[in-house]
Amino acid sequence: MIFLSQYLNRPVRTVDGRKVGTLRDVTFVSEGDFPVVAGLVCAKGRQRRVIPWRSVDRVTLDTFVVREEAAWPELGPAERLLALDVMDSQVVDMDGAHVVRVNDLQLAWQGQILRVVGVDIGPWGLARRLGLAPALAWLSRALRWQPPEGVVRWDMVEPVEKQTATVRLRVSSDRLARLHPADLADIVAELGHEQRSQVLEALDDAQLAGIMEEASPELQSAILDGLDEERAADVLEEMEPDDAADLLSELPEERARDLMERMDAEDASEVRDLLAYEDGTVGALMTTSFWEVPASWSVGRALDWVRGEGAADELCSYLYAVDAEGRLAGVLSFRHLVRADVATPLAALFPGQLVTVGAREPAMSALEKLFHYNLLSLPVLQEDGRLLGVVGVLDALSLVHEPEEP
Amino acid sequence: MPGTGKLHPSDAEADALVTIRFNKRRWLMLLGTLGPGILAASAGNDAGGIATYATAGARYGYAMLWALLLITVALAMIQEMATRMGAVTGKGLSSLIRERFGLRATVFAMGCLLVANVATTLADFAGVAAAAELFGVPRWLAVPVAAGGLWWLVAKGSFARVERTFMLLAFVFLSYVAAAFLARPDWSRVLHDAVVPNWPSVPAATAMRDHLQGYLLVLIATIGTTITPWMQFFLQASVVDKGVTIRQYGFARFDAFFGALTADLVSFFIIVATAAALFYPAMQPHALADAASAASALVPVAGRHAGLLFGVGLLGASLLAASVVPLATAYAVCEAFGFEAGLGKDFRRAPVFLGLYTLLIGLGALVAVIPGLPLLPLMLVAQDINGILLPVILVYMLRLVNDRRLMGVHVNGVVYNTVVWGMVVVVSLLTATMVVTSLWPT
Repeated sequence: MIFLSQYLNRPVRTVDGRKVGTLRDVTFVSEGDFPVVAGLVCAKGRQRRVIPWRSVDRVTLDTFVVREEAAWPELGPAERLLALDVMDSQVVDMDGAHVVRVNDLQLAWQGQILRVVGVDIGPWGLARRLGLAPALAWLSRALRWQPPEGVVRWDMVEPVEKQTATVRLRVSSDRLARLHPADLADIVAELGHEQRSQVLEALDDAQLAGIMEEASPELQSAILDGLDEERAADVLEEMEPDDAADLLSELPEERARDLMERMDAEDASEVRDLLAYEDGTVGALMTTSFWEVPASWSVGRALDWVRGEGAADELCSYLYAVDAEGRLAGVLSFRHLVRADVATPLAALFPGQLVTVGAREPAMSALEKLFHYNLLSLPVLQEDGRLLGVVGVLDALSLVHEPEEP
Repeated sequence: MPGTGKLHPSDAEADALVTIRFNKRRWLMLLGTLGPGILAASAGNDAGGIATYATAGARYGYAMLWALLLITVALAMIQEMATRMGAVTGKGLSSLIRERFGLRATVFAMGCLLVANVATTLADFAGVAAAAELFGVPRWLAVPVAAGGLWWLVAKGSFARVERTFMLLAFVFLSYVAAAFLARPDWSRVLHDAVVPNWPSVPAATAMRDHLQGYLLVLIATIGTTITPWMQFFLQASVVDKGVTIRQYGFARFDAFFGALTADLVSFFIIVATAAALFYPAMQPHALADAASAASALVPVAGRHAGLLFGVGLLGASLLAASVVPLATAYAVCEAFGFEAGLGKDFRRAPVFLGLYTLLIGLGALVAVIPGLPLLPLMLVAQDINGILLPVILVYMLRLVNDRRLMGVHVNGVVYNTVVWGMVVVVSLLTATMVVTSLWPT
């Protein structure tokens, strides 16, 4: 394997052996999945020239041999430099789904062209650049310990801009979008806010909403601060109403009210209703995004509704049926629903006992009932029996597992 | 169908209730924004800090106060620089050093930081030992228990709550403020010496060289304990963690200044209290050999319980710093080299992070447990090491903060550059003088 650090500071000579200067960096251009080295940045005194790749005659173990040309151009500001712009920067490792630092760059020959094929993020890269690779190898033998190789393929990393970089590296959303929102949230948390806004700009509202739902309150408000008000409102609309309500309750009241006014009226009213419940009550924990249909419907009609309007709802383990006044009439598990004959009225399938919880009860009682009755979600009722929302078991679990703040 | 308004309380009713949930959260948020600047600066008043300020007061009376005033100005500016860099770049100091100066320069910076922080951790475990001995607990028992406990806390990840407890314990040192007033110092003299540069007179039986060396040792320690290298890394990282951006920078800047001021006000009163209680110009310079004599400055406040009061405060301050400093070190180094870091991660996932944390605590505890080692001088020397290495970190910071590609219009102004570069030059000269005088033949 060859690495950029092994080439840096090597002499560059002409075919007849005259020294042109020392290799300080290489320029590169994107071409396919792996970028191609386009030129050598050669230093002599204070002068830096770019020797185009076509002038390179051959590369021996310790020298670059180039054919002389009349005048090589000076290093311009628009060149993308491998050592200056990429080495030591942070990149997102799509495989491990975390932010890592580039210690070295792996190169490979493809015929006459040299491609950048990998990013060294491991201890070997560090050791190599400090000239300590033999020491690490010795240590590895002495301790019978195999340090991780730590080379990630170039097409498996997403660059995030180095603060001092002269050239912007584009962040592409389609690769980032392949990551799970929870992983993306972790990655966004590790980035500085400049790079963060770069990544966030590349994502659409729904992807961003997914990140927000997985992010810690601190990260949520940090992300929100970086968005303009209109986009923030759009993202809030995309979020599940209970998550949006939790987020808004963390904001200063004026800001939260302003954002709710910018939101679509229906989404805003759902969120406002959820905000009415104090922290620590079932109401503050529940969501209003669940399957709710009139009890008078047949199984077939309910299934049609589920396929259509219900497809976007958050909690879909059970179908909740309500009477004309909005009081909970019965609960059906999805399994029962799909196995029943389409002509059957829903009311004929309701089991006897209804397990429910009051909106103003302490949140813990919802968790206890979920566990006691082995349920995936629990309907939340108002005092008069009207169905307000549903508490899912995962949301309830957050009561006992709050991630420790760093 | 789901979530239609008719199923829910009326909007007006909901609106009234919304206000309740917001207000509750809002004052919680205020607590949450308790500034990194205040935290960083007051964490500087750790065991080493107490030992240094008490020594300064006991040995030289009020003669160190004017230096403290200048140090405070520099501290405020340096903390503001770290805060500003965090807000503008959104990156930690280690990251910036690595990206701007490359790997070798980073290794050097991290080496310096590591040496300084090993010394600081050592001083803080010496503080644990000194506090324990005030309560009659031998150090061979107290230090390993403290080290094991701190290590376990971090490995388990339940750090944040305990951190606050230690901070509360450290607030005991506010009693020095009362002690300073109860000792009835000559306030006009105190104020005069705090503003007008003055040097302690050479006691009759002391050689000039010894006097100068002793003075430099305490002066460099005072600088090193007030403006520590690790604090700048810690502060910038906290600013980044809190997501402060340059748009909402006003509060953060106020926090940086205010933190420097309050922390040094406490230092000021420690010097005044110990000077009033222990400094007698006619006598030989007071050596301040142990914690008990430093505690005796609190007698005006606590009477015969002075030792107890001092011990509790020293224990809290020591434990706080002995956990924060190794943690800050591990974070800074891992950030620089791209190793996985984080509380509550196991050894397999974050070997370097936990390894460094363990190493620092282990080294600190191992030295502090040595029987018969004089604890107070040890703490003082540790602060000297911090002072000597401070210019290195400041040079990195200055070069970064003046880089227009990085900071845009938010680079330092002339005043800042003059003061902080001045600090670099002065501390380097002081160190050089100390080295030269110790090599000079008698």
